[in-house]
Order: sequence, then C-alpha cells, then structure tokens
Amino acid sequence: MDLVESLRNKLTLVDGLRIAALLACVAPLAGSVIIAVLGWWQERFVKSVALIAVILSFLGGCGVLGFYSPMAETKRIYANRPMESVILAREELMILGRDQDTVRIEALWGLDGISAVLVWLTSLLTLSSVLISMRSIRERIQEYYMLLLLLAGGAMLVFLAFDVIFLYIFFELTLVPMFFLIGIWGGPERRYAARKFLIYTLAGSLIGLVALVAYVVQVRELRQAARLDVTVSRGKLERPSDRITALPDLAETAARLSRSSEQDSELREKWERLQKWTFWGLFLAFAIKVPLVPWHTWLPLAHVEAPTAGSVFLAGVLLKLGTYGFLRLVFPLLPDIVTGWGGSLLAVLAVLGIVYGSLCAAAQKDIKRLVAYSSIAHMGFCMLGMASLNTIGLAGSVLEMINHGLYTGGLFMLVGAIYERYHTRSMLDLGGLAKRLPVWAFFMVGMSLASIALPGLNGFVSETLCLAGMFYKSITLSVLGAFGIVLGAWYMMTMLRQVVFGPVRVPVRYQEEDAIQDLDMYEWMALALPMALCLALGLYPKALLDIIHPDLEGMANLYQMLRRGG
Amino acid sequence: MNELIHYLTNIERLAWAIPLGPLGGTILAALLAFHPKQGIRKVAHWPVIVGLVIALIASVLTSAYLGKIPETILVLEGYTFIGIKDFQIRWGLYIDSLATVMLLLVNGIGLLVTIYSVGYMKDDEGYARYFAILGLFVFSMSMLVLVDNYLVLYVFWEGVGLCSYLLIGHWYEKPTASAAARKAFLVNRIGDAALFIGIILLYRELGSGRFGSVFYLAGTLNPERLTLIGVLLLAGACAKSAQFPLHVWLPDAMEGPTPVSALIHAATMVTAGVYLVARSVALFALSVTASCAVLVVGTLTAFLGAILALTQYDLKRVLAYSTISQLGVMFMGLGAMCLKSELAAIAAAAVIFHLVSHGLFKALLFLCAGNIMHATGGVIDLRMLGGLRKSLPYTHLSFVIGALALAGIPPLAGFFSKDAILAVFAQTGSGQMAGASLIMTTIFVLVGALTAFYISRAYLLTFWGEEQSMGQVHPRPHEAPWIMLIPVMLLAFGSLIAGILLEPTGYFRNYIHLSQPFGQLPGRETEHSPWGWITVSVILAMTAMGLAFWLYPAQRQYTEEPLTKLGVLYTWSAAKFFIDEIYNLIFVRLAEASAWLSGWLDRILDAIVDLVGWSTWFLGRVFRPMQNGQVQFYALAIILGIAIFSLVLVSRWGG
Repeated sequence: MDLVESLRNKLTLVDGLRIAALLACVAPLAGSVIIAVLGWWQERFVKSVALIAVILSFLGGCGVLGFYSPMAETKRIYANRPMESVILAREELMILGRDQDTVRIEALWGLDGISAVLVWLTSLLTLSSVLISMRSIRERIQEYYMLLLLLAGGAMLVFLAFDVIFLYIFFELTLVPMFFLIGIWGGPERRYAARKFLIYTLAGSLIGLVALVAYVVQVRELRQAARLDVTVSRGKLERPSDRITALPDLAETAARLSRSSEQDSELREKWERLQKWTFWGLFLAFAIKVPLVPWHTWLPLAHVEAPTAGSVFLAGVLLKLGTYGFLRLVFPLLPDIVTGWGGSLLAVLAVLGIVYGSLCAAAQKDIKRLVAYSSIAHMGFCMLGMASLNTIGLAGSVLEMINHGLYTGGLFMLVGAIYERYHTRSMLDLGGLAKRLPVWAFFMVGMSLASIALPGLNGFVSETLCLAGMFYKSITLSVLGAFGIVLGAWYMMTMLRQVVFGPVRVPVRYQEEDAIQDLDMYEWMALALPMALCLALGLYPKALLDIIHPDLEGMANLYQMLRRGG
Repeated sequence: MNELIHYLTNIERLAWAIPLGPLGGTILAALLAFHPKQGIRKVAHWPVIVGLVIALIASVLTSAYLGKIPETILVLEGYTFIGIKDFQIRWGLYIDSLATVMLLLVNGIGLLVTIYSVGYMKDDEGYARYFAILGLFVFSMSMLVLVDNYLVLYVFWEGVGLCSYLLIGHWYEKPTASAAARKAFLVNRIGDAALFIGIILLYRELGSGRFGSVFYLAGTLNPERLTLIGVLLLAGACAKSAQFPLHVWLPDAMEGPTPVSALIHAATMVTAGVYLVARSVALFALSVTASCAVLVVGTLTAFLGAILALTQYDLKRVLAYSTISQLGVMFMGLGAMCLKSELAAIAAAAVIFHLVSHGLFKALLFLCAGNIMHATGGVIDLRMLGGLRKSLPYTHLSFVIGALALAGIPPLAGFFSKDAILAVFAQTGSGQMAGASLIMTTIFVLVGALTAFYISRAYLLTFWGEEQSMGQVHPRPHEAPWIMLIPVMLLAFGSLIAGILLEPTGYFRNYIHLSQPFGQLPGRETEHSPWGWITVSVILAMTAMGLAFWLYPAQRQYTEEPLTKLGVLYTWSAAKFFIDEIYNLIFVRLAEASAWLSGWLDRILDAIVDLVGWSTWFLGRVFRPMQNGQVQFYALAIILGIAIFSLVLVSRWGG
C-alpha cells in the first residue's frame, strides 16, 4: 500500500502521460520484434502475442487521452505559443558550428491534443485490425502480424514526432509494411496495386522532403537576415533556439517572420517566395496522401486489393497522415500562404473531392470501391474544415479524422466479412442479407448511417463543424460541400437497399440457409468497439473536442491576427 | 412516500421524464430484440408502453403546470453537446404552450398507436424491432418539439426521419418497401440539407440558434438574409411535411405497416414542418417573401393533394394524399401572415389547432384502414373492397366519424379547426390585399369541398355496395380484436368532441397564447366568426358528399369509375400529374448520368497517372543502350557534358 501511495505522490501527470504514450507505441513494436524472432514456434503464439500487444497498446492509447485531458484544460486557460506540446523526450543528435552559428539537430518527441487523439485512434484501429484478421488471414501468419504491428507502431510515432526529421522518417516508414501487406495478402491484382501505391506516394513525399529540407535551411538564413535572432523580451536579451529541426521552434519562427516582415518589403518578398515553393512541394506530398482529387487514383485500387485489415489501416490511419501533414507542417510553417491563396486552393479542392468522390462512389458496383470513394469525399470534408482556418472548422477537421477512421474502418471490416463468406463484393450478386446475417446487417446499417452524417452518430458532429467553419469563410463553398450530405445519403442508401434489404440474393453456391454463419466472436468485438464509439462521440463529442480545442484555438488566433494585420 | 411524490413532481424532473420515458422503453425493447428466444421478443411492447404512459402523464402534468402560471416558458439547461468558442450548443429544453400541445398529441396518439400495434403486429417476425423503433420515434418526436435551439432540433428532425425510414422499410424483404424507404430518406435529405444550411446561416448571422435569442434578435437581421433563412427553413419543412414539390415520398411511404402510417405519416412526424414554421413565426412574419412562399406552397399542395386523392384506388393512398392536402391547408393558414403580418400569431394558433384535430381524425382513419387490412388479409384496393359495413360495424362507425370530421361537418373536430383557419383568412380581407384574400378564401373552401367528395367516395366504395370475395386468404372478413378497437374508439371519441370542447369555449386559444410562443404579436382578439363563409363551406361540403352518394350509389355494385368521364383531368389525376416520372426523368437521370460520367473520368485520370508511370520506364528503355560499358563512350559523354555546361555558363555570364 505504501508503495502505491508513494508512487502516486511521485508520479506527475506528465509521467503518466509518458508511460502511456510509451506503452501505446512500444507495445506493438515490441510485439513485432517478438513475433519476428520467436514467431516460427506456433501459430497460436503469434496470435496471442499480437493480441496482447494491441490490447496493451490500446490501454496506452486510452491512458494518453486520460492523462492528457486535464492538461488540455490548463492549456485552454493559459494562452499558448504555437504548437506547444508536452515534451515526452528529447535527445540531441548533432551539434554543428560554434557560438553564434550553432545548429542543434535534435529528436523531439512530444504530444499535444491532436497527437493524443490520433494516437488513441491508431491504437484502437490496430486492435480492431488484429481482431478482424484472426480468422481471415491463414497464410504466412508470422510475417503478417509482424508487419501489421510494425505499421501500427510506426504510425503512432509519426504522431509523436515533433521534429521534421523523425516525422519524415516514420512517415515514409509506414509505406513499407503497407506495401507488403497489400502485395502479399491482397487480392488478384495485389502486385500492381502495391507498386502503384508505393511509387505514387513515395514520389510525392520525396518532393516534399526536398521542399522541407530547403525550408529548414533557408528559414534560418531569413531569420538571421531579419535580425530575429536577438530579441528583447521582458527586459532581457533572449536568444531564440538553435534547434533548427524542432517543429515548435520552426512554427514560432514562421509566425514571427510573418509578423515582422509586414514592414520590410524585401524580407516579405523573400519570405513569400520561400513559402510558395515550400508549399508546392509539401502540397504535392500530402495531396497525394490525403488524397485530394485529382491525385487520388491510387486509393480505390489499393483499397480494393488490400486485405481487410490493410484497408482499415489505410483509411483509418494512413490517410490521416496526409491531413496531419497539412495540419502539422503546411499550416503552421507557411502561415501567409494558407491565409492567402493556399487556403482557398485547398478549400476548392476539398469541395471538388466531396462532390466528385461522392459521384464516383455512386457509380460503383463493388462495395469496397464504393467505400473507398466515400473516403475521398470524407477527406474532402476534413480538408474543407481545415481550410476554413477558424477554431470551429479546424476542430471539425480533426474530429473528422477520428470519426472517419471509426466508421470507414468499420465499413471495410463489414465488407471484408462479406467477402470472406460469399467471395464477392458486387452489389449485383448480393441482396437481402438482413435476412441471412442479421447481426452483420445491424452493424452495416449503423456504420452507414454514421458515414452519411446522421445526427446522433459521430459523422454529423464533425461534418457540421467543418461546414459551419467554412461558412465563416465562404458560403458558396460550404453550400457546395453540403451537397455532399445529399450525395452521401444517395449512394449509401442505394447500397443498403441493394445489399442489406430487398429479397435474399446470394451466389448460387451459398443458397442454403445454414451455409453461412453470421459474425463470429472476433468480428463482433472488432466492430462493437468502433460502433459504440460512433454513438458515444455522436452524443458527447465534447470529450474529444475539449482535448483538441486549445491547440486549434492557438492556431486559429494566429491566422486571424495575420489576416487582420495583412 | 410524500417525499417521493415531492421528488417526482419537481417540474424539471417531470419535463425530462417526457423524452426519457420512451427512450428507456426503447433501449429495453432494443435489447429484447436481440434476444434469440421468440417468446421473449414478444414482450417487447411492454417497456415501450410503460415509457409512453410515463411520458403522457408527465406531459399532462407539465401542461397543467404551464397553464397555471401564464407567460412562463420553462427553459431547462442540458449538458453541452458541442462547445467551441461561440459555437455553444446544449441539449436544453424550451417548454411553452406550443411544445406542450404538440407533446400531448405525440404522446397521446403514440400511446394509442402502440397499443393498437400490439394487435396489428401480433404475428410479425420483427415484433421487438418494430416496437423499439416506434419508441425511438416517440422519443425523437418529443425531443423535436422540446429542444431549445435550431441545431438540436435538426438532430431530432433527422432522428424522426430515420425512424420513418426504418419503419417504412419494416418489411424490408418486399422490394417496394425497401425502395419506398430509400425514397423517403433521400427526398427528406434534400430538404434537410436546405434546412441545415439555413440553420448554420442563422448561427453565423446571429451567433446563436437558441429560440429565445433568435426571436429576440430576428429584427436585427439583414432582410435579405432573413428571407434566405426563411426560404431554407421552408424547404426543410416542405420535405418533412410532404409539401409540393417534395411531396412524392409520402404516398410511397404507405408501404410501411398501417399503424406507422397513422402515427408517423399522418398525425405526428409530417406535422414537424408545420411545427417548424409555426415555431419560427417570429422570423417568417418579418419577411414578406418567405411568408408568401409558405402561402404559395401551401395553396398548391392543398389543391394538388385533394385532386390526386380523387382518383386513387388504394385506400391508404387516398388517405396519404388527403394528409398532403391537409398539411397544405395548414401551410396556407400559416401563409396568411403574408397578407397581414399582424395576424401571424392568430394564424399560427389556428393552424396548430387544425394540426391537433387533423392528428386525431387522420390517425383514426388510418387505424380504420388498418382494421380493414386486418380483416381482408391486406387487401386495400377500393375496387376489391365493398360492403364491409356489416362485418366491421365498429370500424364502420369510427370511419364515418373520421370522414365527417375530415369533411368539416359540424360539430366534429375538423369543422371547428377549419373554421378557425377560415376566420384568419376572413380577417385578412380588410387591408390592401382584399383581392388576394378573397381568392385564398375561395380556394380554401373549394379544397374543403374536394375533401368531402374524395373521402365520401372512399367511404362508399369501402363500406357500401356488394361485399366482394377477397380471394382465398380471408373468405369472411372479421372485426378487429378489442385491443385494436379500443384505440380506434378513443380516437373517434376525440374527433367527435375535441372541436366543440376546445374551440367555441376559447379554451385552446387561451391556452396556446398563454406563454406567447409566437412572439409579441396580439393573439386573442379573433372573436368574430365569418358566418357567411362558414355556411358556404359547409353547404359546399354537403353538396360534394351528396354528389358522391349520387355517383357511387350505396346499394349497387361498383363497376366502373364515374370520374373517368372527366377525360384528361381524370387521366392526369390518376397518373399523379406525372410528377414522379418527371423527377425520374430529370433529377434521377441527371444524378445517375453525372455519377456515370465521374466514374469514367476517373478511369481516364487513372490512365494518365499510369501513363506518367510508364513514361519513366520508357525513358529507361530509351537510355539503356548508353550504359554500354565502353570507357571511351563514357569519356566522350563526360567531355561533351562539360563542354555544353561551360557553354551554358559562359553564355549566361555573357548575357
């Protein structure tokens, strides 16, 4: 008892947060290593290790949310600098130069509200992915779980990295396991799909890397030129940090450059040119990843060919890396561009994505393709909210990332379950499944309703916030985006009428009543968790909004100030 | 014990019990629906009935409480739903006399229909699912009329739409049912999107969507924005209340179980649009354009619905078009404020009265239709029915009461409620709009005559003439069991006395104006009744009924439709003015074509991406021979490269 008591006194919230975050991302990585080393032993061993790892990871994810939420409350009260995070760990990698010219390159691991919710989402979807794979994956089990856990750990580290180097490294690292997951356990065209996915996204992110490196180097020069290096604050000289790769420092430099270049036209020109080129590089990288129309063509193919868990992860987490990239890099580092034409460009592309993605979804006969195209539309909502640059829209955008992960992940699991049973995903071959698979049908209807933003379920809250945020910027774009609500209902309801309702129609081989079983225990658990959260976040979104709100308010205030000043 | 009573009768707890009773019942019923045992699933109606009884008692007590303290609005704070900066939305309640009137209607008819359903759905496979959704509907509908801000109203607005979708598609294996459910959802979604935009616009303009502040600040709105918001709200109301041009889903919705049609598609959910406009009268009264739009939509729909109801052969569809027409009448009444905006509050009160009386008699008529379907094994085609007065005596009597109430014959409920709207129109005549007022009043009376005619036709074809054989299913029609008859009789009793009890005594008028739900406009000075118009309308209705008796003789076998003599008019009415076909041709095709086009465009985009990918491979092929391993070639290439590079450098410096 004494031990617990003394521990409780010693441990602060930050310690708790550190432990939770460590658990969340290290558990899958450790599991991956254990499986790689000892996985040859027994199939059951591999599965148990994977399951234990993801359960621990999910507990860690929940812990992150739990420990972070009181801090968010504090953060809300005290005004904050851009991208202020709880620092989990920092480690110097390199020190170059001397005295005035010192350059420190540092690994910075941090956590703010946005990363907290995304880590939590990732850990949750990993759990669901492993559960849904228990029955459906029968070949090369050792490699499969090893890659899946590696993917999960890598993705979580992206959200925790607060320096450009590790952010980029883990951003790219997620490509590799996903490439193999699609290429080995995928459908008939898996090789083509995997190659296209890898090359397309890699091409984009390499351009992004060039832009990022150029930015980091040049912004330092600009800073020196603008004499931002020595400032007087509270009566004493203060030297800004020499950590050139740390994101918070970069963001602060960018904000100060934007503010101080208002008087200096030469500096202004240089700063805007730097922003412009960086924007195009990073834009391409993340536009492919999100994906924004017309850079989306790798997505339907990759989704259709990927195994169920791969699709869940792709939609639930990897697409979020794109939107997260915009939110973390493009928006804070290039403030003048995003308050100017860059934001408008993103908003227009987002609306295009909503309308075009929905129309394409309506044209599909393959349910999985339909869900994939609906993802494009939902990511459009996410970008629309982000491009509005106010707290409401930004909050909607982050919430949409979470919500989309929950219901689209669920939909992919449900489609996977059908493919397992009937070996078809075509709406033409299926019908009236509510009669045959009532539990499956219940989840299908529930997830579809969440996806079409039915109030009371989570999609409604985030899409409302995104559209409401955009309303303050451009009514026209917002109204066009609201079309997506009607179109979304159209293709989803058509799919439901065809597949879930109506007279029973299944492929000839499975005509008999008892040939096919409803959801098994694993599938049920994998689906029940996201479904319950869809409902909970639909009724009480405040739980997450309170966590992400302070960070976004800081961002929005900066943009508001820039727009007013400029 | 006293403490317990004291605890329970706290007004806040009572108010929250109204929505939470049905919600609790729903959750229990839903849990039962997942139970594998058939026998246990069959008790799922109990939690819902208990929940509804609680809600009804709480509603009655809350109304009484409000009645005791005039000019009070109960505003209860709930927990925060969404809270970001100034976008603060709570699950709060806003209880005034308008809300309590709606609550009594929703919970009262909800309870009767639930009891009726116990008999009607007795052998249904989805018994527990049905009751769970029914309870969810009553919960959503109660919340819809209870909430204190527009965004949460939208939440439950879609909530009732979901229940309607699920209940229309209750027999989901029937292709027509699942198609009708989808149609209802989509048409409603179009209206909902408009409503949603309107609501967000309201939040943007006023910074709040709470009723209190919106009505208080409405005057400060930019008039153009106000009109836009009004029209958008109206578009939402049009979809939910099946007003032209978004009325097309309601007739198809008759695919659902008949008690559902009675509760959702006649008495309560479809009146949500009327409620929304009545609730927002303070907004509409400020904009002539928006209120005129209400009037135009209402007039068109009232007329259209009545004409379409003339030639239908499906009894439930006759009633559905009748509902559309009557809802149009309510919108007409609300639109009267565009002729004279001081009348807004009086008009809204009259319309709400008609809403209540229509809820009573239309639910009654639908439940009678349910009894008929129960008796004939689902046959509802007027051409195959006939002579049912002998085998269904109680249903017959109840139907007569409902039909007379609908036709507006004194002293039934429909007479008094139509009279109240007529009185509003009569009062608009004094101003500059005398001409318009005269036209509107004439149309109103004409719609009444058409109503009297079509309901008489349906009545005569169903209950008189020769009894026809119903095929093999039910060789001998039989009266419904008591559990179905008692709700019907209670509704018949209500239709009989509600009007005379509430209207001439002024009881309803006084009550509804108690807490000034329609803003600060004068509400109680509608004393003079337009006796001339009332007489004309009753005589016309009687004449129309006489005409029906003459055209469809009671004692003779029905062989051919006498209305076919009307020629083109008959064809068009029977074809529902081809509105469904036109929509299919324009909107559905347009949407499908654009989807198809997008699908193709996407393939082209994909091909372009592949082309870019292939081009790198192709370039590799082209340059591959250069890697030939000969040192001389490499040396040449290096020298050439340096030469070209220096040339470029020199030329740039030179320039």
